[in-house]
Amino acid sequence: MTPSSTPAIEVRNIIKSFGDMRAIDDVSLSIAPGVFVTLLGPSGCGKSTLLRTMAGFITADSGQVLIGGRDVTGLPPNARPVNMVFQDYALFPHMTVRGNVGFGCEMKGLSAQAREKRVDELLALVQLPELGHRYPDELSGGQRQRVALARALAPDPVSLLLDEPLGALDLKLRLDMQRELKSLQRTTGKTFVFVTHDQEEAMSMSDLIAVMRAGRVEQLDRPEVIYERPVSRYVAGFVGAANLLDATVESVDGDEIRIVSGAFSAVLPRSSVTSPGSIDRGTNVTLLVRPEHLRSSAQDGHTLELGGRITELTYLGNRVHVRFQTDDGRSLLADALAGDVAEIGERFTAHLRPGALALLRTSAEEQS
Amino acid sequence: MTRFLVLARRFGPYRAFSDALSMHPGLRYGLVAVLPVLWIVVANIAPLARMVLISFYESFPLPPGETPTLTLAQYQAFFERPLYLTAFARTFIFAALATALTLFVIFPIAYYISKVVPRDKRLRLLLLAIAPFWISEIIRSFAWILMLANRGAVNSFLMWMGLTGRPVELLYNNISLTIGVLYLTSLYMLLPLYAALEKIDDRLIEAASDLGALRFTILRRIIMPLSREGIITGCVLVFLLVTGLYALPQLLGGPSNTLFASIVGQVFSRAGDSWPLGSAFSVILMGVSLAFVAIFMALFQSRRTRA
Amino acid sequence: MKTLGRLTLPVYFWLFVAYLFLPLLVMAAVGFRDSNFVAFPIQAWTTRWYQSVVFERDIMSSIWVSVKVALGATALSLIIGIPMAFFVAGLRGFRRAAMIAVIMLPAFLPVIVAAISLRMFIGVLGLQTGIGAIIFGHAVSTIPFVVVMILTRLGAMSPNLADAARDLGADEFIVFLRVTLPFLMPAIFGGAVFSMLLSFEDFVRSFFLGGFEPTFPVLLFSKLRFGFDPGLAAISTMVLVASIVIGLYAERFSRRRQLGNSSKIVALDQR
Repeated sequence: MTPSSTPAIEVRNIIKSFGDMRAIDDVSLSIAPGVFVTLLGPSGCGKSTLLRTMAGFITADSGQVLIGGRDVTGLPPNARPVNMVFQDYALFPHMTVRGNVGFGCEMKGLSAQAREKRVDELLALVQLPELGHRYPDELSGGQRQRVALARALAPDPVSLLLDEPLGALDLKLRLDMQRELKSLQRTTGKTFVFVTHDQEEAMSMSDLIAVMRAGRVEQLDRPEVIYERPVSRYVAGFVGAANLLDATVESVDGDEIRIVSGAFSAVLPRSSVTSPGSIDRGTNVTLLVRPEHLRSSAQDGHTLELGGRITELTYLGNRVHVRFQTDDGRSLLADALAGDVAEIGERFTAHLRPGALALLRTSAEEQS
Repeated sequence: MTRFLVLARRFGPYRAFSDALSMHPGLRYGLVAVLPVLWIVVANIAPLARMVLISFYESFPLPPGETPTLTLAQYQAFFERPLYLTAFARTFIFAALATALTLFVIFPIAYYISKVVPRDKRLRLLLLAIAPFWISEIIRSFAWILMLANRGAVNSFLMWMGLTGRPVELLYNNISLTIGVLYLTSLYMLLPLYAALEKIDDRLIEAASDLGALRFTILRRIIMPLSREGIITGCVLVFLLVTGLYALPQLLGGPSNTLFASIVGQVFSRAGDSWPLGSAFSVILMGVSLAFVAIFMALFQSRRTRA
Repeated sequence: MKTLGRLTLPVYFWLFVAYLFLPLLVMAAVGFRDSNFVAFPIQAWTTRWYQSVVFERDIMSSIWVSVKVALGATALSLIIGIPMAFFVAGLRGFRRAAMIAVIMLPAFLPVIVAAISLRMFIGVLGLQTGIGAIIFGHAVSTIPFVVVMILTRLGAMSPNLADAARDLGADEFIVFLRVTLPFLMPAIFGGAVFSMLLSFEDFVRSFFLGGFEPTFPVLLFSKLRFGFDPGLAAISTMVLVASIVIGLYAERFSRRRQLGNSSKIVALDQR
């Protein structure tokens, strides 16, 4: 990931509209070789459109697509060295597994021998060496998924583009496939661009996550940064469980910011601020409090307190999710140790450490 | 073949062309659309337009150098001859009756195959019931002639049983015509009805009978409304088929029940200036049949079928 | 009373089947009658009609004409019908509905009207009455069915399938030959057999568009107006059996190919 290395995939200022709707609104991304990147966002945020623009199925209104440093903006999908795994796998139903996996090599004009050898390699890689003669409709969902992966990897692309490929699988299979995908990415060393709306999936697999919203990339960073230090209220709410408290800046004093949120007030270090833009007296801000930041017992540095009446308890083995209502009427979620919590209706006091919290500027449209 | 096409991509102009096709779905679609659009104009629209035009001519072909004058004379001729009008009226009455009869006869068949028979046997029975329809109208008419003729199978059987001393007149009248027409129309009613009935959830019928509905009530309140689409489609197909019947009535019907299509054919094939008159008759037949169908569909389809 | 009610429908159904097949069986039987004219009961049986009719020149040449027409009309309806299905598939909303209505029009017109309008139009195309004109007329009437069958199959095809092939390096021609066409094959096959049978059994269009060489139904029609012999019953029976066998085979073939996918998945999941 040195600055001098050529990005595997780079898009520059891509804009794409469908009618009045702007699906991609001036997106630029640079993806280093060998990285697992996830485009994350709700449906309609433009993530699939962006992926399809990289693959060449969609021609952008303006902007450039570069693959391995080469400008492929004007090239059709069949001339781009990237391959796609589709949500419905799109396996050719009239070809055997071998026929499917070998299709890309056939298109490259490889000799029959070389092709067979390559097919054998890939079937071994996805652990389906004995199913080559089967037809797609004779395979289970997970097996189809692997064939689709093998087929996309066979022509040795610069990068693999995966369009919600796990969406059709049931939960257990999905978790298995997440692990396998990740390990496949490590063994092949290829760049994976993965599209999903499932934030847990994104968190567990990715080296980098690009959170998208309304055709723009809101934040591109490592999963833990996205989680701990989101740049906007939208990102904070989309990734993981979050208590978002509306607050106002009361004073800024050197490195210390004093905020007030209803009956609650706190002094936070300036490093808590994760969103761009200046924070002054009177700025509307959002305080991000993750449930695990709300501790049932105070430890070192837990200088803040939030209390209320317990309204809901969800037991998760050794932990318990506590929903409680503060005296000024807000409903918060805390993640507590099972032994520490009383009954519904009783009081609950949560302790927090100021340094763990994130402070975000509230944009005009997010103000309630 | 694929190998050849893969190799062809090394050839610049071909590659440029195929890349252009890949990059521009609009271009692709335009190329695909050329032949169909041409065909639709030439085969589906132009012949009818020409027929309508010719129906307003005084004579056809035009003498060389003469400009055509448009006239309504051919349409007037239709109204002046009672022979034409009666045949025309008879055709539509007959078509309506035949449609109702077909619906009445075929509905229980479609119901039996789609709702009573176990699922795995349905297709077999359906194929059994539609197999004869792969056969020419003429062969089927021939088969019924052999059945109904004076020395045909039915009369021979009746006489052998001693039920009658001499042959009963079965052929060349309304009986034979009706039997033969029903034989032709069954399929066109059966398939849409079957498709519609098959879709009705059996649990609806069970639910209705649970609630104490009588069989007739279930039929009237549940099955008939839900199979309305199929009934309409079947009736439209059968009605249009019967109004256009040409060969079968000539083989099985008698002189007293000539249908209008035969008259159109005769008028058209008559020597001399017959195209304009034949065209006018065709236009009338087409216009009135399609109008009938449109009215029928407007009457029954406008109400909502599904809740 | 209840069993009686339960028996009514099956009895009615099998009576209907008898109504369908009895005339055909009678016709087949007449072909075995050892006499020069048709009457019942059949006292002496022979197979000579079935043998000799095959050597009757006018009948055999009419069947040959019908076969040529059927093959020609089928080829033409596929050549036009396949791109037409793609053309319709690309339309949406009102345009699609309107285009389907125009395409289906020839199938809904009263047959006599369709035949006459085509008879008056072939001159514009430079066609004489004869085999070429009949092929054109038959294709006009079979294309709607071919389009509907292919369009239905096309609706079941994931758009990603063609994209996957493009993505793996195929150009448009390879996509069509290797992916789209094989996927549509059951529908194309079904449409082809359907066109062939429809063309083979057509009378009215062949009658008005035909020249001096009649198709089999046209020849049979003209013969029937002047009386008939067991030989006609024999050849009609043979044509009938061939039609039914081809029709049933095609039905089975295309149904199995289309249903194959989903039923197998169910079986696998239950394992």
